[in-house]
Amino acid sequence: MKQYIIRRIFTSIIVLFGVSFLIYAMLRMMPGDFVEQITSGNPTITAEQKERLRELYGLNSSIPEGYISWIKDALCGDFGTSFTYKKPVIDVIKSRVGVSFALSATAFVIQLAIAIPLGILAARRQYKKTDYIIMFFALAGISLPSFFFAAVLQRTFAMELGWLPLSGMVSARENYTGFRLFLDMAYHFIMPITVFVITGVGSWLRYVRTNMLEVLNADYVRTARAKGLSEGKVVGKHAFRNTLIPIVTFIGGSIPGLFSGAIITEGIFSIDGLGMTALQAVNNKDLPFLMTYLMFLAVLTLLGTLISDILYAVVDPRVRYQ
Amino acid sequence: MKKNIKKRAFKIIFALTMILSMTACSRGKENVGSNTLVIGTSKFNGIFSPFFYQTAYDAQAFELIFVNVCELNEDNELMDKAGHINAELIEHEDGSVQTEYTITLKENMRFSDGEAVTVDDLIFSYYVLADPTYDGTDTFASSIDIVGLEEYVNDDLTDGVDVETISGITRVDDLTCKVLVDGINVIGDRILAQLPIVPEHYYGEGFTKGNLDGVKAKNDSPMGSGPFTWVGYENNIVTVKRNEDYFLGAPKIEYVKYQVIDEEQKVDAIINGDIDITDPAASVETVKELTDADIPYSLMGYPGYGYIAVSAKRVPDLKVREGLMHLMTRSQAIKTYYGEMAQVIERPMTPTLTEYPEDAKEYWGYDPAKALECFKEAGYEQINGKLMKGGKQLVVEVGIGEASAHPSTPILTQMANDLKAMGGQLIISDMDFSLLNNRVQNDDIDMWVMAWGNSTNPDMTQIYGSEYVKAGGSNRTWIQDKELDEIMEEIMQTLDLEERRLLVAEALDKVMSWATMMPVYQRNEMIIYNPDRVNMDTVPQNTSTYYNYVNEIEKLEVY
Repeated sequence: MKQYIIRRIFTSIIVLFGVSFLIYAMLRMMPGDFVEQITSGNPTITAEQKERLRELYGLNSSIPEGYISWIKDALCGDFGTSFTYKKPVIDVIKSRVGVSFALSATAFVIQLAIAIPLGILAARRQYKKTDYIIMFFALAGISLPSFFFAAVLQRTFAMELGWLPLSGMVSARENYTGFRLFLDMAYHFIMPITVFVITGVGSWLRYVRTNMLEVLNADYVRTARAKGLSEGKVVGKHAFRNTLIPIVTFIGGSIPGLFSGAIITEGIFSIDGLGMTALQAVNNKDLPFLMTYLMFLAVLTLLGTLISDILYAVVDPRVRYQ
Repeated sequence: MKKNIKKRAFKIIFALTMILSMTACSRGKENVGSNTLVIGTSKFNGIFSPFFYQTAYDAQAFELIFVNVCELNEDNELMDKAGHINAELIEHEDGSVQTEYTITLKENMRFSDGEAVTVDDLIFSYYVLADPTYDGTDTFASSIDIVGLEEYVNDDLTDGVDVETISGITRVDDLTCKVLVDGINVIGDRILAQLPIVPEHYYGEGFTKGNLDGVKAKNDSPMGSGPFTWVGYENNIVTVKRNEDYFLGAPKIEYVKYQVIDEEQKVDAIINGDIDITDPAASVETVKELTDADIPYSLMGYPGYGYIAVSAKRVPDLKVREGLMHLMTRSQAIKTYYGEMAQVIERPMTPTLTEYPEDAKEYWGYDPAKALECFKEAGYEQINGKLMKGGKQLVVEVGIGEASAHPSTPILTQMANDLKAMGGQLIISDMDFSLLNNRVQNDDIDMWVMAWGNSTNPDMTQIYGSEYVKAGGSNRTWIQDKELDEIMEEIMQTLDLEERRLLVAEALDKVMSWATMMPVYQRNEMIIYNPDRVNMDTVPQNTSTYYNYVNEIEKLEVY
C-alpha cells in the first residue's frame, strides 16, 4: 500500500508538470492580454505606455521563456502577484477560498444527509409511490438552472415575504462583530446554500438509490434475509455498508468542487468567493492568478482521486494495491 | 437511549430557536445603522489607491477618502475645491510659448491622521505618476509637456538615477507650487489639478525614484484629507467613517458602506430597502419599474458614445466605405433598444462635452440606391447578381461583441440584407469582447462595433491622429489626414471656447468625410435613491454627468 501511494504521488508530480505547461500555454494563447484589457476603451493610452506596461507585467516574453520563469518561481513557493488584485496570488486565494468552501461544504453535508436516507428509502420502495415522489423531486432539482432557482427564491423569500436578505454576505447597515457577525453571515447564506442543495442533491440521490438497488438484489442480502434477520439489520448493516463503497469513491472525486467556488450562485448573491474571482480573472486575463488557481484545482483533483483510491481499499477489504 | 435522543433533539431545537430569535432581533434593530448610507456597487478588485486602481468601482470606494485640488461642476467646468489653479502664458522672443501654472492649496487642511496638508503632498503625486516604473493606467506623464518631465520619465535607471527632479515643477511655499509646461494645453489645468491630494508622509515611506513599493503597500488602506476615513474592505463591503476634521465641515452621515450587488438586482435592493443609492443600467423598463414603486432617480448622459468603425487600412477605397455608411440606419435600432434612454448622435464625440456640435446634421444618411452608386463608382459591377470587382465579390466582415444583446445589431442585420440584395456580403461575426478587441488592435477586421468611454475633454488626437495608427495606438480606423492633425493640435491650444467649438466641428466633419466612423448613440446613466432613507432635499438638484451627490456628500442626510 505504502509503495503504491508513493508511486502514485510521483506520477502525480509528473502529471502536474505537464498540466502546468499546458495551462500556461493555453492561457498565453488566449486572444488579448491583461494590458489590452485594462486599456481598452481608454483613448488616451499610447502604444509606448502599453509596451512599457507589458514589459513591467512580463507579458512580452515567449511562451517557453515565460513558463520557465513561472515554474522556477513556483517551485520556490512564489506564485506571483495577481495582476488584477496587485497582491500575492496565494493571499488572494486564501482570502476567498474560506467562503467558497464554507458554502459548498455545508451544502455538501446537507446533500449527503438528505440523499443517503432518501436514496435508501427510494430503493427499498422501488416503483412505489414514495420512490416516484422522491425521484420526481430529485430530477426536478437536477433540471433547475441555478440562476433561475436563485431568482425564484429571491423573489419569494426576500422581495415578497421579506424573511431573508436579497443578497450580500452580511447586513451592510450594521456593524456586527464576533458571534453576531457569524450569525448574520449564516443568515445571508441560507438562500445560496439552499440553491446548492436543491440543485445538487438529485444526482447524489440517484446514485445512492441505484447502488442500493444493486446491493439489495445481491446474494448475500438474500442470505441475510433467509437467516431470518430483521429488515432493519439487513438494510442497515449488510446492504448499506456495501453501498458506501462506490459513494466513498465518489466523494473523493468531489473534493475539487468544494474549493473551486460556484460562479453563478456567487455572482447572484454577491458573495466574494473563488468562483466569481476566477471568472473575473479569466475576463481580465490575470495570468498569475489563473495559473495558481488552475494548478490548485489540478492538485486537488489528483489528490481527490488518490484519496478515493485509498478509501476504496479501506472500505473494501477485497481491494489490495500491489 | 430513547431519552438521550429526546434530550439531544430538545437541545438542537433550543439552539435553533436561539439562532432564529437572534437573527430576528438583528432585523428589528433598525436604529443601529440609521446613520449609515449604503451604496450599491459592483465587484471590487481591492486596489483602493488613486495611483493604481483599475476599475471605476474601486475608485468609487475610495473617492470619499481624498479631496482633489479642483473638481468639475455640473457643466464640466473646473472649479476650486481644496485649492486653485491659475494659468499664465509666457511668450518667448523666439516665438515659442510656455504656460506657467500656479497651484495654491487652501489653508488649514489636515489629513485624517492630523498632519497638515502641504503642496509637497501634491508634488509627490506628480512624481509617483511620472516614475519610470509606474505601472498604473493614469496617463498623466504622456498627456502634458511639463518641462523636464520627459527626461525624468525616460531616465534609464539601470545605471543609476541621472535625472533627480522634474525641472518644470517648483515649490514656492508650503501651499503653492508652479508648474511650467511647454506650449498651450487646453486641459493642462485639469491634468494638474484634478488630482487627489495624498499624504506624502504616508504613501511616500521609502519612496525614491524607481521604487514604488511603499506606495503600493498602501493599496488596501487609503488615507487622505477627504470627508471620510477608511475603515476597511471585508465580506464584499467597503466601509468608510466620517472625518470629523473635514475642511468643509464634518459630514452628517457617520458611515458610508459600499455593498457589492449584482447588476440585475440593483433596483430590487433599493425597493427592498437593503441599499440606499445605486446606479442601475438605464432602460425603459427600469424607469417604469421605478415610477411604479415611487423611487426617485436622476438621469444623466454617459460621457462616451457607441460607434461603428470601418478600417481604412482594410477597406482602402473611400467609395466602398461611403457605400457602407449609406447602408446604416440607426434611429430605429436605438429607439427599440433604449427608448428615451439614449439619443442618436451625428458626430463621433460625446454630447456631454461643451464642444460637441449640437446642430450637426446627419452626414451620410440611409440610402441603399446611393450606396449602390458608390460601390459602382468604386469599380464594382453587378454580374449574375453579385457585386464583383477584379473577379472578387464585395465581402466585408464586421465584428460585434454579444450581438444578441447589443443595441447596434439591427443596424448590422439591415446592412447585411441590403448588401445581399445588391450582391455583396456582410459577414457579422459575433465574438467575445476580448477577441474582438484583439482583432481590432491587430488590424485584423474590416468593421467593428464598439464604444469609447469616459471622455471629459475634446482631445481626439489619439483616436484620429496620423501617428497613432502604429501598433498599439488608438487610431485603428487608419484616418491619416494632415489637415485634421493640424486642426486637432490647434484645438488643444485654443483657450477660447467659441473658437474651440468651431474647430471641433470642423475636425469632426473631416473625420466624417473619411467614412470610417459612424457615430451611433449616446446613452443615459442613472442614479436611484431610496426615498425612505435618503433625505432627497439634500441631494444636489444639479446632478449631471460630472456632478452628483458625492460632490456634496458632507451635506447628504439619511433618515
